Amino acid sequence: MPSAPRRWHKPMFLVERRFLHSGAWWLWAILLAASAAGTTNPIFLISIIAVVLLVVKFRKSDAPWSKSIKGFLIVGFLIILIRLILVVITPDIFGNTLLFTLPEIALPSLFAGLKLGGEIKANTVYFAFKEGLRLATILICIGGAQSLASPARLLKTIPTALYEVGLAIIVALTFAPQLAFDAKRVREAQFLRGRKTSGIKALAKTFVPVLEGGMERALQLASAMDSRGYGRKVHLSQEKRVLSNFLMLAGLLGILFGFTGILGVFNLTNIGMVSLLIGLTISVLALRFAGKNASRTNYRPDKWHISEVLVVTASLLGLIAMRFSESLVLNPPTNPLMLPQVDFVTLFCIWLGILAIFVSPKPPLSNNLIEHVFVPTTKSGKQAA
Amino acid sequence: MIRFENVTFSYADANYPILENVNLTIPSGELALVVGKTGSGKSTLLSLINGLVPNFTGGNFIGDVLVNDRSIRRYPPRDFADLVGIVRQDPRASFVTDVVEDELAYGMEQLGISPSTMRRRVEEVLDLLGLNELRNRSLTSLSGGQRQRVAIASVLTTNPKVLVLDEPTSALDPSAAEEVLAAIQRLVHDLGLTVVLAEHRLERVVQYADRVIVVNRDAEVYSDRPVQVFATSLLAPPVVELGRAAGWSPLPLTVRDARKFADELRNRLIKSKPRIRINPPTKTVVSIENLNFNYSNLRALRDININISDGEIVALMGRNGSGKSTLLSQLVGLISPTSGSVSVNGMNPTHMTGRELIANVGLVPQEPTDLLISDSVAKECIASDSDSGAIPGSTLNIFEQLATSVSEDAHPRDLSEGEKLSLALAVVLAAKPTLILLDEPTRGLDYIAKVQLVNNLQKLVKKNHTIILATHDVELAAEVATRVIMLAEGEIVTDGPATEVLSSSPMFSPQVSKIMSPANWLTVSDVSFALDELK
Repeated sequence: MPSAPRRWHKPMFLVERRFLHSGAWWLWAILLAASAAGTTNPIFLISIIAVVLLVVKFRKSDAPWSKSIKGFLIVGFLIILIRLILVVITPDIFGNTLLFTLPEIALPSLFAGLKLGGEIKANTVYFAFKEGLRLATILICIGGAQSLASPARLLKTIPTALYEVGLAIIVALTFAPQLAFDAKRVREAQFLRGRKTSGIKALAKTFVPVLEGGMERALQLASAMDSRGYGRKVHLSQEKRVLSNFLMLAGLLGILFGFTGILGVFNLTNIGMVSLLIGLTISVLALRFAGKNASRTNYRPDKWHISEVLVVTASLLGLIAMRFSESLVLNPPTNPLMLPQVDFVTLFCIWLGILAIFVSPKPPLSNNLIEHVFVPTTKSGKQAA
Repeated sequence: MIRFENVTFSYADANYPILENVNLTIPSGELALVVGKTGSGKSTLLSLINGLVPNFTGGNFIGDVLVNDRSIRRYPPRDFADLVGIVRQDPRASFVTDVVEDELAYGMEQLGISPSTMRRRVEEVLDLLGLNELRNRSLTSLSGGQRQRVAIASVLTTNPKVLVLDEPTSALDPSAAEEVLAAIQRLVHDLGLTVVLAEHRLERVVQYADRVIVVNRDAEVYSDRPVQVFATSLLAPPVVELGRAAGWSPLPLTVRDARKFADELRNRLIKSKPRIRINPPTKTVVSIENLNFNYSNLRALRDININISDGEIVALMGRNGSGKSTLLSQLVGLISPTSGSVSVNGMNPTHMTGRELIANVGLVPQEPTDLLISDSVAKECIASDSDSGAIPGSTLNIFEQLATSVSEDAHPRDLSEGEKLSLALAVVLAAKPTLILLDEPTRGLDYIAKVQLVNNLQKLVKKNHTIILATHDVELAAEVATRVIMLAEGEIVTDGPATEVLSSSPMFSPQVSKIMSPANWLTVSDVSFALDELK
């Protein structure tokens, strides 16, 4: 008897809408960022950006914090632009492919080593572009995590022992979206007063009130959290608190140094490994030490399911592949000028990051239909008489 | 339950104490209403209860506050989380998470309550405040009344003994306010909670209060039974004012009490009529035809047709989110219609240049400080003169007419709510716009500041300005409006003379109208004017 044709059913863990564990998205993004940090190959970097943007597109929620990716894209673009502009005042170290010549302005001897204008070499421009792109890519990865993972859920995973650190992180996380909101508010006020709402001058005038508003909100949030009991029951003496914060800082520094070492910035892979391990150990000890007296429970915590593991694996593969890639491919030469070479296995592994879309559930809908903001949008480009 | 012992407090940069020598006792299970002018120290008094002041603000603090014998000198605010639940003026500022259910659990997580207990309490509180349908909603998607109830629910889950509420209904429409107050009353009656509540809109809360605490900058802070306090208080709800005007004794505090005297008053006034407040129109200022406006996924305004002439004061009323603010934004050209047309003085506001726009229409936003950009009153006025091309000094001049003496060096942020509103209004008026729009102007205003606003608006109309107010404040609409337009879900439901619309609506009728119905009286000032004429 012929069996009925097998139909593909979505596995259960993908059907139910839920937020993926915030830690999973952050790990996924940090691993991609780590991959980006290890290469200046524009094809790899652009692939990483594409992966981040696609995953954000298909897995972001409709909550306000999901919109932050745009800001990161703009800043990323600005970084590349600034890096290219800086070429004009950096001396040409390498290269012989002349792109064009700008009129050179003689600088006083005080600025020896700098020059303004003159010959612009294609090699320098290319080098600057690659460097700028790398930084932009790392930033966009962070932006991706910001848009995918709910900051509030991330906050839940911060140990109570780190009261001050936790508070700083939360305030920082809520700062950015609120700045955008305040900027809109201030621009509307300028509009209502018949002023220009576009142009550099108008932008400069929004700066101070926006920062002020942001500060005020941050303070409000901090006091709200305090009156709700945040950081309670941490009855540590002053010395112990200082000691645990110091340990934590030392641990984090160790981890940071370890990562930079491993990622080949200073070519110190082995020392980096050791430093990373020591850093991790110190951090864990510090948390244990400080958290001993802190008790805090978690309401229906995010659990680490199969989706979370798969998402992290998806971007881990790219990083691993990169360790085995040749250095000429990872860091394509600037002189002589040539098209970057690509190692297809690595490229494929980077693109595997996109699997995050297929192995994770959709985020729940938050019914964000009505946002009671004072006015919805501002027309831009309207000029005062 | 709560004891203030010889409390004197001054903020760090102030040269005089905001509270001086305060001695108060609030017994357990009572609802205490805190009244006082704006800037009199009500919020400071409330924040002292869990020690946010002085712990977060700094300042000079003498004396002590004890809640359930726990001193705010010895414990930081976080150690009061199981004892005192505090909800601030704008609940959005106190939300820590982003989803209703998480917000409810947050406080318990901090206290280390076991997961099973947490789960049970969240369910209980959801039911208690009728929030079950909203449990998965994002906090930004809630309406004003829902937001306020979520904020209350989120501090209730920790089982506090004291609930502190700072102006819980000032941003709410009348029905949402009732919803919140009903919930609060249930907490006092069923759970024996002690509630300390500050509110300017006394007409909404007086009937629930067991005790009134009067905070007065120039005199001592004291507490007494409501009847005693309102016999003499300058700040009093319309029902009390009416009782005083008509010479009723004992003084009624609620509409229900007052109705017992109403027959007698109606008979006295049987031959009198309320003053006519409609000014003869000469030309059309605003004309809106078939206006439709959609947000990305919501129809915010549908088929709106309105014509407004000069000399009219129009009150736009309706629930939170019914499209009032959106309509104002359309009139000032901040957004353009999806279809249909809007014109002010025959021109489309979205096509006007900056200078043209402010000479035709000016908007005072919900938060008046949003409009202000400088760091002192003097600088603000100079900036406004140059924005509008007015003669130097004219904004300051207008401001001095609107508000009584304010130091020119003061930061606009440090002004009282009424002064902030006057400053924003002065900035708008400097450009001499024909049409003046005010979005929720009485939020945070006490009765005295409100009387001043009413006088100012009436003066403006006499100078041929046209005024549109979006407001939840029924008493304000009753006091000044010549015409009321009710919106619901972006549609016009009613449009007519204020006297008719306000006296026929159960939710939106002012206290005087409720007392005097079926006679058509809306305000105390109308009644006392008529009484004076009889003499």
